Order: sequence, then C-alpha cells, then structure tokens
Amino acid sequence: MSIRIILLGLFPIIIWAQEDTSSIPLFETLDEVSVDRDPGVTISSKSILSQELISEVELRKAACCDLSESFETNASISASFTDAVTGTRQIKLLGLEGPYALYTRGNLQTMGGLSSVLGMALIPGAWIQSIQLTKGPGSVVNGAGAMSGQINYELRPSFTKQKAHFNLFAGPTRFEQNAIYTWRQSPRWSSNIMIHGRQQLFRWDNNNDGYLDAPLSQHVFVQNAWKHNGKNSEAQFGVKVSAIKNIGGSALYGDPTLDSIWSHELQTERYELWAKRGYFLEGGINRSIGTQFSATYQDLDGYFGNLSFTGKEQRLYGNLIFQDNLWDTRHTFKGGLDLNAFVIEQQLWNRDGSFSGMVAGAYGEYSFVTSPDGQGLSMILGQRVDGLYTGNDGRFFYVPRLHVKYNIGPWVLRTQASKSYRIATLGGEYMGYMANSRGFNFTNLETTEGLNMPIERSTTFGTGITWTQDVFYKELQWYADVYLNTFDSKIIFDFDYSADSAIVSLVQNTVNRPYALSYQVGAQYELIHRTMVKAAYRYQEAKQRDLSGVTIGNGLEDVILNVPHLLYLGTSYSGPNGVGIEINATYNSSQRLPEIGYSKRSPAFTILDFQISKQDRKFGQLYVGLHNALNIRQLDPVLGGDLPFEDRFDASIVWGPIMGRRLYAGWRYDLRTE
Amino acid sequence: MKQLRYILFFLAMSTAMSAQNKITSTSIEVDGLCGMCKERIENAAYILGVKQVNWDKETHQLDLVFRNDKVSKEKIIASLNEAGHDVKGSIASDEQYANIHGCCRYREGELRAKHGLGDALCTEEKK
Repeated sequence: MSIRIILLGLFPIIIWAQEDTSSIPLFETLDEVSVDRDPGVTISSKSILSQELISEVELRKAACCDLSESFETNASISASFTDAVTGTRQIKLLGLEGPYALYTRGNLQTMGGLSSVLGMALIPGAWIQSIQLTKGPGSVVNGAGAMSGQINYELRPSFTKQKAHFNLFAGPTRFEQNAIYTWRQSPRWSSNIMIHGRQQLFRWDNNNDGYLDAPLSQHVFVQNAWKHNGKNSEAQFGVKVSAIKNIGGSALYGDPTLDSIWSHELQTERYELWAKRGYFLEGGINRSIGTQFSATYQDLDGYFGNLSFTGKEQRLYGNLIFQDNLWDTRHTFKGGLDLNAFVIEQQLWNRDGSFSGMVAGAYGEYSFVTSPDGQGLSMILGQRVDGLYTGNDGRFFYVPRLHVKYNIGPWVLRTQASKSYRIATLGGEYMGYMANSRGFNFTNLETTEGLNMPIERSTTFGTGITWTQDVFYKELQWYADVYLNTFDSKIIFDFDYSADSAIVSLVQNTVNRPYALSYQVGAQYELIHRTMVKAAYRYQEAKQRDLSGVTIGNGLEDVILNVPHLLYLGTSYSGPNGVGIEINATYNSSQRLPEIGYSKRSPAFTILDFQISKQDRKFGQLYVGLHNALNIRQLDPVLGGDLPFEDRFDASIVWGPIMGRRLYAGWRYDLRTE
Repeated sequence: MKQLRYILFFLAMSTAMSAQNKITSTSIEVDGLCGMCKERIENAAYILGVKQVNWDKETHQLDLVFRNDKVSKEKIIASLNEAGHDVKGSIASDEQYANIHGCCRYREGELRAKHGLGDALCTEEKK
C-alpha cells in the first residue's frame, strides 16, 4: 500500500508506486523502458480519465514532422489540411475540429488564440518525448475548455542520460533539422536547448493547377528550458521563440507577369515564457502546493489574395493548486485559483475582430480510489466557477465534471459527464476559410463596431470499456467507446447557399442543437512474433443547423468534410537487430461537400504508408518511408484558380491529400553520457 | 450452420489444449547492470518461439515462457551469450562480451559497485 508523490512539473500527480512509473511521461524514468517490448500506445487501466499514452516508440512509426502529423498511427485523431494554400493541418478528435481540444505542455496550457490551429506546426515531432491523449473533457484544474479532449505533450527533458539528440529529415522539397543539447550544471540544476529549422525551398506544383501544393516556408524555433530539483520542491522554467514565414498560392509568385496572381503570405513570431513550481508541505504525505505561470506574445501578418489578415495576441496565465488527502490516501482533494488575461487584436475579412478580457476561476476537485491497484470503483468530481470580465461586461460560468471508473478483472468501464465553455478566436481557428472569394455574412456575430467575442458552450457524455488479458501468452487489448458533444452555443459556417457566399452564425439555445457523436472500437495484439497489429473502426456523425436552408430546411445537416466511417489497420515489426518495418492503412469514407459548385460528396480513399528503419548504437537510426503509396490526390483543391478574382475561387474545401506519393528519409542520433 | 460452429469451437479448443502442453515456463540467471542491459537481454532472448520475457534488474532472473517444440532453453542461452551476456552455467566468450556497450560492462567491479552488485557470474563460476 505504499504510495508516493512525484511532482510532474508543479502539477502534483499521485502515482501508485507498485510498478512501472516508467509508463508515466516523467523525466528520468523513461530510460528504463524496454524499447522492444513497448507497444507504443498504452491505455492505462489505473487512470480514471480515458487516457492513451503515446510513447516515443509510437511517434517514430510515423516519422514526420510536427504535432499534427504525430497521430498518423492513431485512429482516434485524424489530421487534414485546413485549405489548399497555407499548408496548415488541423486535427479532428471526436468529430470536432482541433481548437475544441485543449493543448498542454507538461500540463501547462499552450496554443489557443491566434495559434489555435497554426500552433500545431510550432511543436516539432523531434522535440516530443511522449503524448498523453485524453478523450473528452479532463480535469477542471486545467481550465474549462477541452470539449473534445486534452492533448498533453512532454518535450524531451533536461534531466536525462541523453546528452544530445540530432535529427535530419528530407522529403520532397522539404527539409528539417533538429538539435537538442542537454547539460547538467549541478546535481540540482539542469538545462537544455532545442533548435528546429524547417525549409520548403522549391516550388512544388505536381497537379499542374498553377498553384503551389505546399507553400514555400521557413520555420525557426528555439527553446531553452531549465529544471531545478530541490529537497522538497521542484521548479521548471523556460522560454521559446518561434518564427514562421510562408508563401503560398500561385506558382508564379515573384514572376513579373501580366496577369494578376492570387498569392498568400503569412509571417508570424511567437514568444513564450513559462515557470512552474511545486512544494511538498509538512504534515501529510500527499500535501503539496504548486504554481504555474505563462506569458505569451504573438504577432501575425498575412494576406490571402486581396484579403488581409493581421493579428496580435498578448496573454498572461497563472494557476495556483493545492492538494491534500482527506481522511486517508484513498481520498484526494485539489483546489485552486487561476487567472487568464488576454488582449487579441485581429483584422480579418475586412472587419475588426479584436477583443480582450480576463477570466478568474476557482475550482475544487475530489477524487476517490478504492484500491491502489486501480481495482474497484474510482471517481473524480470536479467543479469550477469562472468569472469573465471584458471591461464593460461581466459573466459567470459554472463547469461541473464527473468521471467514474470501475475495474473488475481484465475489464475497465469508464463513464463521464462534463460541461465546458471556450472563447473562440475566429482568425486563429478559421484561417483556412480565408482562402476563397466568398462574401461572408457574419449575422449575429457582427455589430457595427466589428466582430464579437464568441463563446461556445457544450455538454459532453462519454462512456468506454477496455479489456486487457493474455491470450496465448501475449497481451490482447481491445476497447470500445462512445462520446457525444452537444452544444448550447456554437459557431457554424454554412457554405451551401451559393458558391460565392458563406453564412456564419453563433447558434444558441436552439431546439436543433449542433452535436458531434463518435463511436470507436479497436484492438491491439502481437499476432506474429515481434509484429504488433492494431486495428480500429470509427464512426463519426457531426451535425449543425442548416443556416442557408438549402439542404434540410431548418433542421440539422451534416457538417461538411466530416468522415463518417474510418478504418485503420497498422502493423509494426521490430526485429532483433534494430530493424523496424511499419505498414499503416487508413480508409476514409466519403465526405459531404458544399451543395453548390462541388460534386455532392468526395470519393472515399485509403492512405497507405510504409516505413523502414534501422537502429545502430554507433550510427543512430536511419529511416526511409513512403507516404501515401497509392498516390491518392484531390486533383482540384483550388477551384476557379484560372480566374482567382472572380466569384468562383475557392481553395478552402480540402477533403484529401494534395501532394501525392512522397518518399522521405531521415536520421536521428542520441549521444548518451556514459 | 450450428454444426459448423461446434466444429470451429472444438478446433479452437484442441489447438489451445495442445499449445498448453508445448509451453514451458522457466527462469534463468543472467548477468547485467542496467536498463540498457534489460533491453539487450530481453531483445536477445525474444527469438522465434519465445512468448514472454522479463528480466529483473535486482534479482537478475530472466523469466521465460516459450514453446518447447519450436525453441529450446539452450538456444535461448546461446542467443544471450551471442549478445554478450553471461548466463549461469554458460559464460559468454571474450569476443562476445566485447560487443557490450561501455556503460554496461557488467564484469567490471567498479561499475558493479556503482549499481550495488556483488561478484560477477563469471568470477563466481571460476571459483
């Protein structure tokens, strides 16, 4: 029954010390993981929330390139392009777009605001140590968002035996470099510096439509993080600077031509500063206090053809968490206060969308576990109250959340009910919808002064079951889950009325509430010696109110670009000599497209990927892969591209890959201290 | 249809039963130091026919589950020696031991002391 606490950053997490603390993305423990036996994805039976831990072993199976591309071997999340010109990818989880999830780095919130979608590209895959994916809203400690889930990523730690890590990657016209250097100043202090560069140097128009399939780009990110291990405390702080410059659109960019060309440019710089501290307090083995702080500044400047998009974001965030046991170690209480102050200036669709405000929150969370091995009943009951002040206006939000888990033998049953709300940043979240010549009608989102600050609210129900047992002496795991998000208030884009218009609205308290429903079943098993097989099927339904009245009248219509049926099959061989072979296939069923100017539905398609890697102690790891081996392409991602300033131009509807078959190769190397 | 189901059930049962008899569970002592050694030992032992491997860093016991019709204990021990690890009753040759990474040189007294280990298997066996 011995338990101990480890401070994960400043956020106190209880770990039952009985076995593998290495399965938790902590700092020093990961060296002890046996790489060959690591299945890549672990669904913990102990965690009360529905969580998958995606380890570095799994991340290496799809060796490209930033956070949005880290989920290619995961059926829960799919990534797609937001449009055909910016090269930006966003993920979808539980049938909802990327910004509906919460992103945290070491449990401290990141992204959001202007980086809601663009932020995915700011996190290089080579920097990531592991990802913890929570389905459905998580703990109230991390805020009131996370409608579809939480993606918590851990970057490579400074306290490690790896002195340095290098990675080089080359794909068609795309190059990436990563270097990480770690040094230990003293037994108490350690630090690391991470550098990332990415270049798309050459013009690539493989479908010959006169538009670049991927933008010319230059990315440079630098991060310096520090960690201090005290006697009864731990502290981490860091600074990150990111700069992106992209040029997309017409392949004739920069040429003196007679025709007026449609081009896109985006330039952004983001500065982040963060600090976390935690102390163990006297008088209780689980008593601790923690603080989190972050400051962000981002400057964004861009245009899409004749439409300019500029923005500035300033954000301050602070969180104070207290934790203790009630009665005995089975009962834990967490309570705290947080503050989020933001100023967002954005000019978009020839309108002013600037807003600012401050959210002050108070929360309390009680959790109960019957037994340290996770058997029996466990639950978390969390509540928070947020006050939002926007200068002249105040509003309160109440956010209750309940998670219950029951373990019996190999079975784990989970169920949850949660409320969430979030403040949307139109520019950051819907940037891809600027790549067209539609006239936008913002209905109730717009006043004479400009665009409002939209607040979205939802209720989530989820339930799931997992079963893990040895079958023929090898572990078989299967799971099934269902999630439903219904919205009291949601932003809706409707492109159905005509090919040159769009209706946008914040629908509220309607009879026909927008919703997203997701069912998923999956299994993983070492079917053949050293060969792990994963299979999953996912059904997703996303509905919204028909604003234009074209498809259903006033009822609920299917959201465009939602993939109803998805099948995933992945096999992964890890040989005795450091040889790895990965084959992944994902079938996407047909998606609904806008009514007018498009064929009603996209074709169904299958993406097939191969990768071979070889690990060697002296030379590091080499990998070669073939992405999209069946050469599936959307041949018309830019509609009306020959006359871009006419009403018909549209590069915002992307249902599939724009680039076809891609061969890539890379190298990674770890320098260890003896 | 019903008959087919019975036949399938019996087939599944009989293969499961016969597999039971061919399974050997055993444990052998393998010398090593650290997490990297654990990785190397388990990787070396996990040859075709082996179902489960688990090496304990503290006790040096390697738990094995394997199909005795496909692989033998001797074969697994040979593979462990080949990777450079000493097994109780079968010491790796010096050439084989030379493959071991610098930080995992489990025969060296200084490194052993650092990990809180006693005499190496090979010195014990020489006695």
